[in-house]
Amino acid sequence: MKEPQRLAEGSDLRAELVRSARADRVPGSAKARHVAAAVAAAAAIQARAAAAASLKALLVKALVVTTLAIAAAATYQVVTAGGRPSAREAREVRATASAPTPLAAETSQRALPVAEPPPSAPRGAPLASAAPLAAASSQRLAEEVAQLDRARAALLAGDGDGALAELARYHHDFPASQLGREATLLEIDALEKAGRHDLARDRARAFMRANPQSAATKRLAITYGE
Amino acid sequence: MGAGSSVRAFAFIFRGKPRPRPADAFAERLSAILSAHFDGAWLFARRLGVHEGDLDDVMQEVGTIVAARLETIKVGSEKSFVFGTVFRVASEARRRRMRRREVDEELAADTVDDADRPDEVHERREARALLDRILEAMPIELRAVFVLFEIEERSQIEIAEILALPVGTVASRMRRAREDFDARVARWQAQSRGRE
Repeated sequence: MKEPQRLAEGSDLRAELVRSARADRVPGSAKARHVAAAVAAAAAIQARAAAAASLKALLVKALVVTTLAIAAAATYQVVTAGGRPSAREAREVRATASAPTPLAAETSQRALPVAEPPPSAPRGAPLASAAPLAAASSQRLAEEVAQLDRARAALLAGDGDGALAELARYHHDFPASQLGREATLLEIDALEKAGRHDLARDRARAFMRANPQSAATKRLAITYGE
Repeated sequence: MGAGSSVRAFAFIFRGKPRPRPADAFAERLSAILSAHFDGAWLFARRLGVHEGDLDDVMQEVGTIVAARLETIKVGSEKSFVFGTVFRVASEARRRRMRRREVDEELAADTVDDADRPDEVHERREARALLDRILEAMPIELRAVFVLFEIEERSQIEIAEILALPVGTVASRMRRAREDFDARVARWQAQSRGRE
């Protein structure tokens, strides 16, 4: 495609004006500054997004766990109180456990067999233990999420050793952890970041053997496939 | 070739290189795109008429947008994405600035600040300032094509790709930009002669 003649090729004022812009120069430090700033800002956004996503997913999980815990506790209390619940107890069950109310009310009628009744379960006692049980469980989950997010933030900031330290603290604070799989995946990345490739590979392969169907396994297989 | 051996082949390719991690790959690609196209983007913004004081903000916003949309940028379309973003952000920056002051259509013939220095650098600086003043009132979609063709001397096909326009549109905007430019230069020359 033939291009029209460019003004710069002429010898008039228009040519001079257009040629004057050839001297434009980008300020020396601008590129390095802007690239670094953009990458840093993006990492921060990613960390926040990852935290929000994981927190959301785990709060959903916590909500399910909480709901089931309330239902279980309600059933447990009513049943161990002995026999058919009074109308007042049935109302208390419904009031305390809004979502699984139908379940609790239904099972309370059937008096589910319980392996070991508690030492004392006074008849007509309010279901006080159900709420703290559920609250403690979701509180703990939130704390686990927060600790893993600290590890993830360190990882995204490029600090492999820092991430490993946060993960060590996670395992110390939460021996009976519910997010062990997430912690292991973070640990593999942290080990890589810290330069401990062999250890990362061992952890990765152990994970893949233990979780053959997981989506994370497919991703790990790309790098560590055997 | 079964799935297992495909994975092994893939792993073999990656083995010699730094193992890609999700966060690293993102930062790497973002850094690569911004580094490759920063200078071009800055110059384009400057020549579209973004004021010196606004250039930093414009480039920062471009970087933010590229980062936010990184996943959607197809491999091979990075320059087009960056330049298209510069165009939009620069247009917005100019609109904001124009709302704050009246646009002066009347060009002053006198841009001389120091008549005693006839050297080339001085003349070129004057010419550069005059170029800015003449392009200031040109509609920005015409100015974009004018800048890329006349100043940066890119081909019309490349311009079409950069601005994501049909080649016919590029050609017609080029013609209109040229007419606009010629008219303004002629008017300036008449005014400056009139002042002699």
